Amino acid sequence: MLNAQFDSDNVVKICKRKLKISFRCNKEYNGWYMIGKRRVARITIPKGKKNISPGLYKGMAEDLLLSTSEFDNLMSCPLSGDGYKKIVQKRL
Amino acid sequence: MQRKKLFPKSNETYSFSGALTRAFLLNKFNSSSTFENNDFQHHNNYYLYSIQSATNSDDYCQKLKIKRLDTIVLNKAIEICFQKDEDIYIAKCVDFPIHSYGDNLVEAIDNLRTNIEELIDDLKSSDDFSHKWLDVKATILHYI
Repeated sequence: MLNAQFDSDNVVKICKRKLKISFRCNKEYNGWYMIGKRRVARITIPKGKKNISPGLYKGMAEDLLLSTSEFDNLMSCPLSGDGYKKIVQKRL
Repeated sequence: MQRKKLFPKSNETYSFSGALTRAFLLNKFNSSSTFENNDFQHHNNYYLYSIQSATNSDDYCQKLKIKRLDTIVLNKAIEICFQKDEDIYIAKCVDFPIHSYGDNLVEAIDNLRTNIEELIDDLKSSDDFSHKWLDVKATILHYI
């Protein structure tokens, strides 16, 4: 689990860049991952967390229908946006 | 993962008004002190939260019921569970997949209440969701 390598702003940036998630920013970041016009996954990310705890990291992975190792791959680059889409489509 | 047991006793229910809730949670949940039955006066018409301690088999994830959101009146309390994970509190709904975080328990619960309201708004705005989220929509409509 690579939770120690990232902060919450990293997660937001990667979700925006790879998954094209638009976030609503109130007390926390909330955003939907969409396939076409269909909303399929909803992620909640706390604001300004420099240290991501294991439970928080796992929660964000589950939001995106991923295991923690798949989320590691998403965060550390091997998993692309298209790769993520294929994984999610299998799980819907 | 460090799990701190927040409720020292099991199978006790506490209900109290919104004005007292914050002080109660802040003062009690972040300390190791035990609950007293007469800590708080009951207000039958103004329950904001009721708190029920966890069962013995689920002692790391304490449970609580939210009876009001900020702008939406609930006709059925939403059960949530929460736990401490290192320096953060995680609050999750039991019946649908939504959770929030906070530096303390009050913040986590407040964030979850806001998050639930935003989710309800999203779910009401469209029917273009995956089957999972359509099921969530059907479930959540029973609460409002």
